Amino acid sequence: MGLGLRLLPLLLLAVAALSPLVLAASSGGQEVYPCSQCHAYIAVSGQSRANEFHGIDLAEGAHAGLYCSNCHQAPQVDLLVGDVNISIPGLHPRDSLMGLNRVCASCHADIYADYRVHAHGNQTYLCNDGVAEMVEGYKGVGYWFHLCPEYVDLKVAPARACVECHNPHAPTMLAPSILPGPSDRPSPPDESGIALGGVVAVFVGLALILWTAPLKEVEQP
Amino acid sequence: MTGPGRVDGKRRSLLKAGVLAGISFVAVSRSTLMSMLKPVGLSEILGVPPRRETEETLTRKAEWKERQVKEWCIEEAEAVCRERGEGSEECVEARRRCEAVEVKATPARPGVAFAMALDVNKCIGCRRCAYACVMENNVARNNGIEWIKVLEAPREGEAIDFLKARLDYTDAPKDGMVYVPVACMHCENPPCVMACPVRATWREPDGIVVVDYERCIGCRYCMTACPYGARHFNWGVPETSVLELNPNMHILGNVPRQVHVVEKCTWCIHRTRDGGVPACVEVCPVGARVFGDLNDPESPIRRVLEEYGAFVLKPEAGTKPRFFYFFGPARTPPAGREGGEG
Ligand code: HEC
Ligand code: HEC
Ligand code: HEC
Ligand code: HEC
Repeated sequence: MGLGLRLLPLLLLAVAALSPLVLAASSGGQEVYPCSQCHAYIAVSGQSRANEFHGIDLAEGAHAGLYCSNCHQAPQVDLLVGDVNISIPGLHPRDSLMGLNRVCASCHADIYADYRVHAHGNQTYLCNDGVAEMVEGYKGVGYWFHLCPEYVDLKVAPARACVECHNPHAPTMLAPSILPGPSDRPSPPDESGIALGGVVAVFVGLALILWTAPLKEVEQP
Repeated sequence: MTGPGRVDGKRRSLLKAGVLAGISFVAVSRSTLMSMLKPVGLSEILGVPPRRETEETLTRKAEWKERQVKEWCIEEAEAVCRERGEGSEECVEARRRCEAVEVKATPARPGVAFAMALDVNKCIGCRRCAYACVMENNVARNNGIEWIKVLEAPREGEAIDFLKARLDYTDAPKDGMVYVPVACMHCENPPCVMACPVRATWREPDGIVVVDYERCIGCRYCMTACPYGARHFNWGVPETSVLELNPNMHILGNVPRQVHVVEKCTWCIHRTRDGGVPACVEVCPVGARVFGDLNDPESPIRRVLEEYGAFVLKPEAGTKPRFFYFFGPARTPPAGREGGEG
């Protein structure tokens, strides 16, 4: 630990040259992974709660009050509490992201319990030898298309890991964009033709009456 | 009056009776007569007993429907293949979907009472549920039918001002607004079922209100009876692309409909009866919906109802909805905006 702390400035010098390039794209994604690109270890002291390079500031957001060390187990770079390794949404498969739920569970036991019984977060279903593909569908909705050999004996499971909805460093969930407005039933077929026909019929009828009326009068005497 | 061929009154009535008996004997066979004279059950006088299909007839219907749908699907797929070419992606996809078509008749599990609850504190009004529902349930794309409508209404504390509700908002979520998705409430006392003159709609033992599309005569009484506007009518011949067909079907749910029938939410009967979750629950980006079995003490629905309580829409209508709304624990309603698919 002591050694690590002393070595850190050296390390920082080494990465400082690199940092402007990566800064723009920092915080999440390909650029910061694997961590060993730049660090062999991290040395988060009990006091660090912000990091400019990684664009993380725990003074803001719902996790204000936490320190890096609440979740990151220094000195290993990619080890988190609950003994899980870092995996990043978009970069790693969902299975390994699910492992990170244990990090959150260590403090949010109640919500985690809700999540386990499918009362927090959304759920999906699984079938034997089936796959679920995300397709863009009606009005741009992202829709899971399930392809199962047989649609029986389905099992419910959480659809997403905690970190897919909550950024661990600023956990209040951001709302996704909204989709276009609702449709209404189609307008009824064009009836102006029918109306025209009605008007014509009325006129023809009137004309007939007028035409036959004098005839009747003639007949009467 | 006297005259030739006069018969006295007695003989005349005897003759009449004889002729009548002869005619009725010839016109209606005994068995029909007996069935016509079948005594009316007390339950039929006191109230309409729920009409349910027996498992057997339903399975038979489902098999027949599956053949019909497959036939239609293959025809459409061939058209796609002719248009786009044999090896094209669309052609492969269309054939794959036709191959997978399965019309089920899964009966209700005994002792199950389905219910759904929605956290109005979480809902952000993004309408993803409404459109995923269209995809999942093979709803016609040309009739403007969406089973779920999302209302935006001003919020006053824990009250919602529904008089100012609107559907056509273009920006969400906004401060001081709540978003209330409305679809079929699967009432315990469904007025639509009472209104149906041909008993084409009924409530299943597990609480799902279903429509038999084969029986529906399109009179739309049920639509007027429903206080929630949850029923929708196929005004035109329904058109669904086979490229977007959901092959997982239930005979009382998402089989392709014919023209002039009424349809409605079935809580994805083809998923939930087999142990899955409805599509709206799956797609919700904030996890605002909870679905489960009211009779199972371990189910998520029991957990939220016990923890947060619930309210229903239009309780004064006496319909006893099985769709509940609640104000969940979200302390910070999701704010801000982040583009793209969540
Ligand atoms: C592109 C190089 C680079 C990569 C890749 C990288 N980091 Fe960093 N990291 C840095 C730099 C530079 C600093 C120090 C900046 C500072 O102190 O302001 C730093 C600091 C940190 C700190 C804070 C240390 C302290 O004492 O405050 C943590 C924690 C950290 N990184 C974790 C990670 C993790 C976890 C990964 C892998 C997901 C990772 N880093 C990948 C460059 C990188
Ligand atoms: C609430 C627990 C928690 C706290 C506190 C926390 N992290 Fe993390 N961190 C995680 C988790 C979980 C991941 C992996 C999932 C992800 O990246 O979304 C992660 C990933 C990272 C990554 C790599 C991916 C990224 O988002 O850039 C870096 C770098 C990082 N943390 C640095 C820090 C630093 C620096 C601090 C202190 C300022 C800190 N973390 C505080 C939980 C935490
Ligand atoms: C070290 C303990 C700890 C860990 C680990 C932790 N949190 Fe938190 N979290 C907190 C605290 C403390 C709060 C603030 C609670 C409060 O305001 O009452 C909080 C608040 C939150 C909130 C509330 C946000 C809001 O808008 O009110 C969310 C969401 C959240 N955390 C998600 C997560 C997720 C996801 C993880 C896992 C990556 C996680 N937390 C891991 C301690 C932790
Ligand atoms: C489908 C997305 C989704 C998933 C998955 C999810 N959450 Fe949430 N969570 C939300 C939303 C939306 C809210 C309400 C808005 C907010 O506070 O961000 C919320 C609220 C919270 C809160 C604050 C509410 C309170 O009662 O204090 C915590 C804590 C939390 N989530 C933790 C977690 C944890 C831990 C996990 C994983 C076990 C998780 N969430 C999984 C969407 C999700």
